[in-house]
Amino acid sequence: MSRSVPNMSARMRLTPLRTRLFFGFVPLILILAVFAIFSHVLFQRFSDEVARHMEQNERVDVLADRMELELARLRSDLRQSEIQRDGRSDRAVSLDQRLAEFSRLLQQLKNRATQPEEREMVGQLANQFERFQRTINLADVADMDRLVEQIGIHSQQPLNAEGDWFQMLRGNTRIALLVGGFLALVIMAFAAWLMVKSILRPINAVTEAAEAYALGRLDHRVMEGQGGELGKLTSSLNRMAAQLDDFRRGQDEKIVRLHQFTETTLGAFPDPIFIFNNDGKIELKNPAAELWLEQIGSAGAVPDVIQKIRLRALREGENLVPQGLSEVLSWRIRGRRKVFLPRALLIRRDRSAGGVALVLHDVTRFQLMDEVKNDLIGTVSHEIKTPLTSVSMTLHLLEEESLGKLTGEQRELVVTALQDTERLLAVIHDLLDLSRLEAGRAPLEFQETHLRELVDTAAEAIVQQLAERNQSLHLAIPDDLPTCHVDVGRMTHVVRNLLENANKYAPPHSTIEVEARVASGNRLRLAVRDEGPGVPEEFRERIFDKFFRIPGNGTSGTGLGLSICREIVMAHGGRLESCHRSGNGAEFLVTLPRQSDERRERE
Amino acid sequence: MSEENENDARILVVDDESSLRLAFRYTLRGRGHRVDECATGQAALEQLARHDYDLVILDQQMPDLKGTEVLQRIRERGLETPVIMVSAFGSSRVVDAARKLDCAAFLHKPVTPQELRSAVSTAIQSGA
Repeated sequence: MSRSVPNMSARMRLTPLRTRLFFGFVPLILILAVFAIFSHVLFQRFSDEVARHMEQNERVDVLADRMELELARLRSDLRQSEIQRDGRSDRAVSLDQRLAEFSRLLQQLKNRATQPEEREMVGQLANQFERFQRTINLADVADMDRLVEQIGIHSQQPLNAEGDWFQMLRGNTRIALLVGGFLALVIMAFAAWLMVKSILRPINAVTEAAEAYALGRLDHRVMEGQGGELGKLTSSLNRMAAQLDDFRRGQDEKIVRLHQFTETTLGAFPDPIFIFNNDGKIELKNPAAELWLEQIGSAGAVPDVIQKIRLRALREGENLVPQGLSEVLSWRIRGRRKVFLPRALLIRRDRSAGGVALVLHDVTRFQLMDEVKNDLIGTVSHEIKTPLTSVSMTLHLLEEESLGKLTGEQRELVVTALQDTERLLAVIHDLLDLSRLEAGRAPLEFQETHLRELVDTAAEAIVQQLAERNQSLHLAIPDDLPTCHVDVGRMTHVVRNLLENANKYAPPHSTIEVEARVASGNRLRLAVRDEGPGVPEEFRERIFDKFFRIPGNGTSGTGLGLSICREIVMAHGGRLESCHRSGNGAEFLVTLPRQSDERRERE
Repeated sequence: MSEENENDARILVVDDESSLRLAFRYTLRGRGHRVDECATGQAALEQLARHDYDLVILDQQMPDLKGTEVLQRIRERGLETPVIMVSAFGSSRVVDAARKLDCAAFLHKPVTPQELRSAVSTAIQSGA
């Protein structure tokens, strides 16, 4: 039962209002029809009754005739008896019979008489008859005869008139009832049709309006001018449309302004910007992008390398923001080498990436400056390193006292100078390393390795430092973690550097955690977390800058460790970030592709 | 000049930096070795043609000839004198090239006296 209910309601909903309204009137029409039939039958019966009544009146008439006849016989009998008095006994019997007959007829007449006048006349007749029975006078017969005649005439005269009228009325009323009933039905149906129409018209108008709004024709208005619920509906609909229209006009204006703003901004932007749709087609490009395509001699289509970056951003589900100048792409434009840093930003729609906005940042000048700077660093470092080596050796020789004994004061000075020299040499070593990495002059020796081995090697190197601060190391590296393709020495250096930082900044008796897992886009992610003070938000990116130190964190180390680490990770096609941690402590994330770019391209 | 010391070895130090040559000389002289110095690769080759040496210490970065070039010329002459290479920027390519030319050791600057002494004694023993 319960299962059929929704079906029914569904069907109810499907029945058009027109039909429902029509069927709403059907019972009314049926009642009217039943009433018409009923009244017709009733009238039939009533007219039958009248007919019967008329028949009765007719019988009064007949009775009167018979009484007249009887009176005539009586009169003739009485006349005869006056002529022959002797035959009285026979005649008496005959007279008695006649009287009895008349009496019976009178009785019948009494019963039949319905009208008051009739009754009065019949009463008079009865009195006359009684007197006659006592007197047996011929004169009384004449009186009775007159009365009977009057009764006959009385009964006959209205009867004829009434009969005609009734006949007519009977016929007319039947026709009138039939015609009236039919007319009522027609009028009823017409009224129903009108009503249905009058209800449906505004509803149709509302529907029409709704369809118009759906098509965006918000200036459409429903005809007003009727009160009641439908009037309210139409006026509120119009109000809604007006508000929507206003809103849309406002929105349209905003969109137009936004469009102008976008166009102006994009147009004013000196770097090529491409907006790709889902299918990788260019949806929008700024004038700089058009010019760029023309200059690199690519007619319309973007180079494959750009499409690859777009696909990589989609695959990794992240914006691709370059971390350094080593990620540049170069093209020859008007005979000069120009380099661009690609930046791919996902355009998200409903949480899934739809298109990609790709900005090619022209960094030719930056790169030139960077090259000059790197060359400078290289040259200066070399120039510093060579004399510093002899300084260091000299100080070492003095400190060894192989050339002669030192006094306590001399020794103190020599040792301090030696420490500073060594620190200076470390800085120069790191700087040179960094400039080589940045210039891409530090070729990586890739090897298929399990991250676990790498972390173990790095951890072994700092076991002593961990023990000194009573820190424990917790490794969460699944055994089934896929291997990765890295320069083992370099990557071990990165992990070791991150562990050293954790060791240095986290408090004693804390735990340092290293976690590795598979990340999206066929990548591996290594996290190094500590329970130290963490990296303040504003320095999260700056700590990778050369020589940057978080204020108040001392000046130990060269200030180049994290820069070198990032360069190494980037040389692997990965990224190194300092992340926000919900609790206390720092978190460094190393994301590495499982395979190096060259290898992936070869395959 | 002092032939009386049994452990005495004749060593040629080739470096364009006089301060470093001085540091090398003092480091090695303490051990009783006899040290000659050259400031250029060309001078070293001439010196090697005139005298026999037990060991050559060659700097990679020099204005005229690179250390590896000097080493190559030495080997081309058929000399099997042990050679220790010293470099401030020992790239793996240079190190490999030196190894192929039978270099006894490759030291990276900064070098401590201790490192130099142990490399020298190892080289002399292997060359003896």
